Amino acid sequence: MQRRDFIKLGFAVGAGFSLDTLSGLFPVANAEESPVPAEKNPLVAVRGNDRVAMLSAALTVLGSGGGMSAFVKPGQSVVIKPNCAWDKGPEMSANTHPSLVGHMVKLCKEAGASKVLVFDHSCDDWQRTYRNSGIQAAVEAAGGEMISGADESMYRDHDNPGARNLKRAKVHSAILDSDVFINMPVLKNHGGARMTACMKNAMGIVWNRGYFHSHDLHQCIADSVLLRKPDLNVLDAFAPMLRNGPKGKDENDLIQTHALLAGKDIVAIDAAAAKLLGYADGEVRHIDLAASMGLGEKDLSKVWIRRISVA
Amino acid sequence: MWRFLRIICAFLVGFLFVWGFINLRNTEPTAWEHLVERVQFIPALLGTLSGVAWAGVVLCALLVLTLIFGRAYCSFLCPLGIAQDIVIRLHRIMDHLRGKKSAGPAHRFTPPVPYVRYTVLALVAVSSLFAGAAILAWVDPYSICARFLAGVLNPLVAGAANTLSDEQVTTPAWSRYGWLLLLVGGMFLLPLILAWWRGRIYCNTLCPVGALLGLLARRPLMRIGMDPNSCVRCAACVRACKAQCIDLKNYRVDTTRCVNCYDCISACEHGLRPHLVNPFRAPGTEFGASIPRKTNSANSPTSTSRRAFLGLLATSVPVAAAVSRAAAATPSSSDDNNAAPATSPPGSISVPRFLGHCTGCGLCISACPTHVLQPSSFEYGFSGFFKPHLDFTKGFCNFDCTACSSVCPEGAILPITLAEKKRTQIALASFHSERCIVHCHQTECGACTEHCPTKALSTFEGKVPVCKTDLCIACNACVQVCPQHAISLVADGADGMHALIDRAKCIACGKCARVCPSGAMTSKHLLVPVLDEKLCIGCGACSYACPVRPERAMQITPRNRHLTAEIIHEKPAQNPVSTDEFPF
Repeated sequence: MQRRDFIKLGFAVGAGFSLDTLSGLFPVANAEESPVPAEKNPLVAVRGNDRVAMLSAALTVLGSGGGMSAFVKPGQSVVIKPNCAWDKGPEMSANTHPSLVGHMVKLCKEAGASKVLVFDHSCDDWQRTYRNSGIQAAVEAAGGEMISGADESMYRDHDNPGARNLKRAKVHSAILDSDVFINMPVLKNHGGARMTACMKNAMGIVWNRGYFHSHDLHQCIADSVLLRKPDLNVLDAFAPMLRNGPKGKDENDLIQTHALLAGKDIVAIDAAAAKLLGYADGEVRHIDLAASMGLGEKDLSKVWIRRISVA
Repeated sequence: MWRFLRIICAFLVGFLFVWGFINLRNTEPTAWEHLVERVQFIPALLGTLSGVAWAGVVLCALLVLTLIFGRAYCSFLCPLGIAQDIVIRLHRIMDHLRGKKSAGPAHRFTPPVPYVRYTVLALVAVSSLFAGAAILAWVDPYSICARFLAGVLNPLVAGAANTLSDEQVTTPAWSRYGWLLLLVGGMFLLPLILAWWRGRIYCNTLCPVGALLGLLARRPLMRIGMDPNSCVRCAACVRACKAQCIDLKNYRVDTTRCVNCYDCISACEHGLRPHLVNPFRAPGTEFGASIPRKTNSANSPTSTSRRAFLGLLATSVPVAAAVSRAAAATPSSSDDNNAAPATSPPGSISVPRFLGHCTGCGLCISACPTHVLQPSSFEYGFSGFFKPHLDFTKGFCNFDCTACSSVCPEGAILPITLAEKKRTQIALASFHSERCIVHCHQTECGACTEHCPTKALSTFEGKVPVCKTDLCIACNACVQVCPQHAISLVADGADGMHALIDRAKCIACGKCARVCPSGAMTSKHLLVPVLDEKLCIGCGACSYACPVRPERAMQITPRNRHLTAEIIHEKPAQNPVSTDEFPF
């Protein structure tokens, strides 16, 4: 099916953003309505040339017309966990793009969030990473708060009874204490886990990452999703790092996909993301493990997918 | 006025100096930020020897300053001098509050005893000729003060900031110096205790910089002169003199000991003031020949000091040479295979060169964002005390950072561009597959390759073998096919033999599993780490990240002489799927 087939149905929303077209492929849905009922647990895949407009479009669909107010109620506290692990600039796609994180903070604030916290357990020095990724500036400009994830004192022991390997872990207090948890990673190749997307991003809410590596990385990644399931996942797949991930060598490692995936089903998003990087089914083991643990649907033919193109 | 200028300057220098060692935000330092560390005598001297242009300019300026004004450095710029002045001031204030008649440390004129300081100077000078900065690290006043700030003030401020704020402000850096703090604190407190007791006695007995500048300051152009015609011998100046160098009997100020604090001028109401004098006239004759002056030169610092200096220089050469040779021996002894006892920072060229130029002031240790730079005790050997080495258990060298080279005031870590730094091989990683999780537990890990900035360490689709010994029929097929000779047959209790894989040699090629007829040898498709030494810069990220304990699977061998790593530029990545449609 050609992209122009999607573009048959025009769709326009309010001033801040515009959605040109949207349509559903499978399962067959009536293509007229824009917002998808939340009980369908949809996966929204957006293409476009502007990350911020793509995010707005995705949230319009996911939020059943209400945008972020479907996820954040007035007075609630929000924690956003971007991928902000490496001391690299935004052009390297090693971290979630700052414009996306900043816009998400803004939308949460507009939805009435009492506070919006943003952190990552960075691999490089956290202060340099926060600064050079551009995320700190974007978050603070939008009225959010960038907090440290670099000290053990900020993590609390948390039981994880449903897990197979990661039965207990130290989890960042902001994740445990906030009302809403938004998972906001960037899509990248990974030299150990093959791919890092939504599930791998959850590793950054835990203090002792070494445990993951020494106790079956893939199983621990799947287990870490159970520590707290994100209320919303937004995956930045605009310019994914195809090789040399997750840190990357230079911009030659990137491909231009111009995509953004969003949804509640963390397994479905990762399964779709794996396809964007060209992985075959079953190649990324933590997706299969998570599906087998009932964390989500890896079979995309059973997922309600809404594809949008934003001009 | 002079004293006021001195206080203003000292206050500014002191403030900027302290500020330079507080690094809460981990920002990339700018050259201007560390200006006051760069106008220090020993750093400028070492920097000049390293061929750093601005250090040469600073050194010349300091020398000219000394020739014109005398030891102005000691009161205007030296942080240890400023710290002593603060202590002396505190003593005076306390005595005032207690209502004592004469406030402050007991000051009176003391005849010069130049033997001690010139001995120290000679020993340091000679040892430096042979061992570079090995001994200098223990006596340079700038470094003594700087180290205290790096070891005590920096973590104290970081801890306080974190405690006072709700959120974490900075990464805690407690106990970097560990037991070295005893030395660091002792070396800093000694001059201060002496200052409380007797003013600038440390500067005029133990400090080699004071001694050296004193030699240059024998006849400064702009010196403090006493006018015997207006002097009433009230001795206010003598009581104010921290250096105890005003000889009221002879109306002389011993400029080799005078630290140009100008307290005497403020104390005097009768005519003591700095004069521009004829440098060809002997000291003490500025106001004409009418001043009584002892002809006996036993008490004169000029002849005594010269004699003492020359004599001591001659006798101390062999002693200092022997000591410093022994001190410098450790790092250079392992020169043959280019391995060093510890890793020196990028920009330091080689470990011996680094140790020869570094006095261990700790400025780079304070500036290092990852805390990989740690002060040494015996890591480099004796000549490396207090100097930074990279400790890969504490952190790794940030790829996009040149903080240590930008702050180093001594040229020990030479200025290095980011592009050069990214190719400088300060150490070399080695991969020990016998400890690696992927080889031994047959699960994917990737912690090392994830952190590797140059992709010297990458992962490939390997086939890691596993042998089910109960199924093994000891047919020897795998032993024969293994290209690494990693498999052998070993005795299996009473039952006979089975295959055993030597994980240290295995390269995960999977050939053994392919030929196994019994199904005992199987292989798992996993991402297996592989190291390309040519690309490795020795940043230590892989070792830091490796989760294997106690011995890590990634080990780092320090380079004695830093080398240049290769860079492989890859072609732009191609999209594996069409971008016209979503592939799902």
